[in-house]
Amino acid sequence: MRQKKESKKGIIIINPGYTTGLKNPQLLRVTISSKETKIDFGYQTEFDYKKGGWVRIDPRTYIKPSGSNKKYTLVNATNIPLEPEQLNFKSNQDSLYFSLIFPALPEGITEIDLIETPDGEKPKSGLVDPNNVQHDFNFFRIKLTEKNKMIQIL
Amino acid sequence: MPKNKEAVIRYNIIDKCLTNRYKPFPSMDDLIEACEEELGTDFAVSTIQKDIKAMKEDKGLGYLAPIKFSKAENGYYYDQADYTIRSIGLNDKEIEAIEFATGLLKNFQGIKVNDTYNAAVDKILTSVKAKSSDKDKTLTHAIQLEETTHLRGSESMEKYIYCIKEKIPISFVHYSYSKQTFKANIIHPYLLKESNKRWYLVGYSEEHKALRNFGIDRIYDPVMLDVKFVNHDGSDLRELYKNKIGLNSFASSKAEKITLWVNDVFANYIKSMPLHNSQVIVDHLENGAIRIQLNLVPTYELISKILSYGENMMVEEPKWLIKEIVNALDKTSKRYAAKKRK
Repeated sequence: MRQKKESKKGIIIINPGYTTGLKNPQLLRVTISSKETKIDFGYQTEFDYKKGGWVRIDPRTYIKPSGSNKKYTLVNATNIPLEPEQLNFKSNQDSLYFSLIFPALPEGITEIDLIETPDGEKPKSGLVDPNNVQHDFNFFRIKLTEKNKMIQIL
Repeated sequence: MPKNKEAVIRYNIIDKCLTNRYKPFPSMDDLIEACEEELGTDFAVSTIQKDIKAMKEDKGLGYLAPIKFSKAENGYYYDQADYTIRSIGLNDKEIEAIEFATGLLKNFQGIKVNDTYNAAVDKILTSVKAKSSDKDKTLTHAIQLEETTHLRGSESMEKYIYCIKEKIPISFVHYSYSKQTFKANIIHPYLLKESNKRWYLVGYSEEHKALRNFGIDRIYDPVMLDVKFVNHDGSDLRELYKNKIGLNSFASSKAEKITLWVNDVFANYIKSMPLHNSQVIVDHLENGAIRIQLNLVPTYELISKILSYGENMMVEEPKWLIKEIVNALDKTSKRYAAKKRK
């Protein structure tokens, strides 16, 4: 019998560890392949907004290996509009599953940051509230190599 | 096994690989591996090459299969959409039975698996050169079922069935309507269960380390994983739902006796179509009402069912269930009263 071949579709990291100032959205999964890097999120609308508010993503959003300056800028987004478009929710009971797609990462990267608004720059759009820097859509030290969380895709 | 019989099995394995749209363009290694796994013996590259040649060119076999090799994909494929060497001989009665079942399955319009079923039926009928006649149309129009609306997530039904059959774990994101949270999880799927026109994927949940069911309308982005499958303990999963109306247990997962009073108007409806297989009539009351008993695991769906009968049905036992129903009716009544005051 032959040995099983390595998956061509890459690996998926389920519930990776990360740090962020945000409670919402939740970063749920990262898929790493030779083609792209896909990050999945779940967003629950908030009670502060009668009709659930709105969301959009700044097209300048990028990922970078933690501690490095090499940027990999957003190439596509699924289920969330790119600024200047925005998705207006109809109710504060609405939720949204969406994915951001970035270029493929080189091998050996163990942690990445996801940045929508770089330090010192006034947010142009913002996922939740463009005037509140604390709400910037930034995630740091997203772990890509945690044991038992990395799984080959079939 | 005679040599030629083994060759026919290999042709079928090769055909299965070439028609597997989840793993298109199987390489020579893939074909050898599939044959070895199925037949439990080693095969040389030359054997499979001869098989492919026979499938393509042997007039005695009669397949004349349009097998091609793609350099770009480094694998084999059929150069004719939907080609397969599998063919079935059906008689008129069997064709009629399939067409009747197709009529029944129209009820599941909008569910992906039904598209696949229809395509499969078309293939079968084409393979026996049967054409739908006016008589057949009359047959499929002889019944009408309640229509179902489109259920979010039903587009992945085909994938779930494939994963159950091939024992493939699935990574998915689940949204809980009650907790309003998203969670990434892995399920080792065993069963697709329908309840009240909703579909649930049942399997071993890695998050819960136990058997769980997930409404497919709350599942996002299912991804097939190349990881060891956790098999079920072998017990009949259908037994799990035997003592339930619906799937979602309310408090305990143990079956208990539930006694219901049903008024004279609805007594005949309940007698002619019991609420559940465990239903027994324990009393015929003087005014035409009846008292029935059920042995059930309390579920949210049971409570909804009782409430749907309104004033025509009343819980007599257990006490906790009376309290639940009274609370629900009380809240409903207060809501209507508030609306009236406005």
